[in-house]
Amino acid sequence: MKLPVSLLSLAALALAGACRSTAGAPGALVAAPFPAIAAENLDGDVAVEARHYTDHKRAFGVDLPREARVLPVALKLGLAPGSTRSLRFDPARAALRLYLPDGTVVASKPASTIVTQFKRANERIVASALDARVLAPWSAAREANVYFDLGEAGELFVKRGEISRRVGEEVRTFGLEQALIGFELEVDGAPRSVFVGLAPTNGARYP
Amino acid sequence: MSLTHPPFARLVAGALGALVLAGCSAPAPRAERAAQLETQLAALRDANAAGEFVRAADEAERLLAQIDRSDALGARAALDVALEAGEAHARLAVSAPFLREPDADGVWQVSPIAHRMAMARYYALARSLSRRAEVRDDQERLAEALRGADLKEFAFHAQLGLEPSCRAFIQRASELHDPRRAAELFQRMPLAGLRPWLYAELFEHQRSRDERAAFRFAVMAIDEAPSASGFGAARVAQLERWIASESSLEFHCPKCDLAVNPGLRACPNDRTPNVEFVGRKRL
Ligand SMILES: [Zn+2]
Repeated sequence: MKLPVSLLSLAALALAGACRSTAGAPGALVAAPFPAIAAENLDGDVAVEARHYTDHKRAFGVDLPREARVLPVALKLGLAPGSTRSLRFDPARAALRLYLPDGTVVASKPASTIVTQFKRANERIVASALDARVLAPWSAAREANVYFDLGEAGELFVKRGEISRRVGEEVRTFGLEQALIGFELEVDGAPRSVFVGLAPTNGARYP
Repeated sequence: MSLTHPPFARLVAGALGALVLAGCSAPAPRAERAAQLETQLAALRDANAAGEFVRAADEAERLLAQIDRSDALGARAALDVALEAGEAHARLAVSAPFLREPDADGVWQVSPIAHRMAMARYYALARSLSRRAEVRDDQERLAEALRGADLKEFAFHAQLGLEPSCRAFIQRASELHDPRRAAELFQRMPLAGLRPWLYAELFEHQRSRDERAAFRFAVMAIDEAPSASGFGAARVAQLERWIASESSLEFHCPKCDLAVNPGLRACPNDRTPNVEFVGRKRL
């Protein structure tokens, strides 16, 4: 089917979320931002939410990016309403990863290997970690933590909901809400990749 | 953790060199500056056209550090560069990814997703510059390029199963609700390997709204599935199952009334393509 050229160009403007601007440069187009990656996802049988509590020090007693070089993320992971499948999550096989907007990927770090100077913080890191489990229905799902490895001091920094990466003399800073989390789980024994955005927020509490 | 990407180090060095040069030279007259930007952009497009995507990505980053975006001319040049950078990463994702992510054994494997994240970052930059960018006599070409960026990002989100953002995009892109218009659009755009994901996502959107439209999207996704690695047999089977038994309609050949066989591409009697079959209530 062929549409007249004028109709095509109108469609082009509408689809790009674009329109003639009154506020921009003369003759400018204004393209709407692409919808952000949401920090909640309902993908088939899997329901998931991801938060980074900027006030997590209230729960752990320490600032984890600074004291332990990890970014704590609270994942709520459950069986989507209506699903009758069996979903299994195992942190040792999950290949948890945090994708930053410039293509940098940050791996996770097992809770048992994270050490601060504070015994109580170390215990809470392990006690609140997301462990191997068969997922509960979403209504019974609770948040538990995973930790992303910020590596040696000097390359990655986390502060107030933002992550910065030093590349030579340049420092690139992104809001954590622009990041993407990916991991693997099993649905009825078959491998399955799951993705979700990340919301930096307040409201940390020790479970 | 491995975060060392030599191309980024090179590009930072290049960007610094360019900044030093820019800082030492007097402002060029507008025509001269426009010509210089056009030459740089042409070189970048040539790199992408020649399949030298790593070089294109490096060069784009260098130019973005160098271009003064404070006026409409500079904003437009940076917008064009950002679109080329996004294209370079989109192509790297399928042809020669070098960014890496860990697998379940902790081994760092090449990551098409990391390249698509980089692609999305450049496309976001292009959109943000659009408000201030100069548009000459190429408004349609620019709108088309921005539309292509949106569709590639939509396909990326669809591949990852990011339902909320896909839903939000489809809701505002009313052109995509109609299977004929969507198909015409997708065929004109350079979306090789992405169309099945787009059609399947549009099927998901329409299956609870308009089953006739959903049927066409499902058939087009199945027809294009061989062109897309990663669009697996299970996904095709799911679409075929919906056509064969889950839809409240059954679909018949408009010429001979034979019921559709989603495992075939067309009516075996008269070669009418499945996509032209018509729906009626199941008995
Ligand atoms: Zn027929």
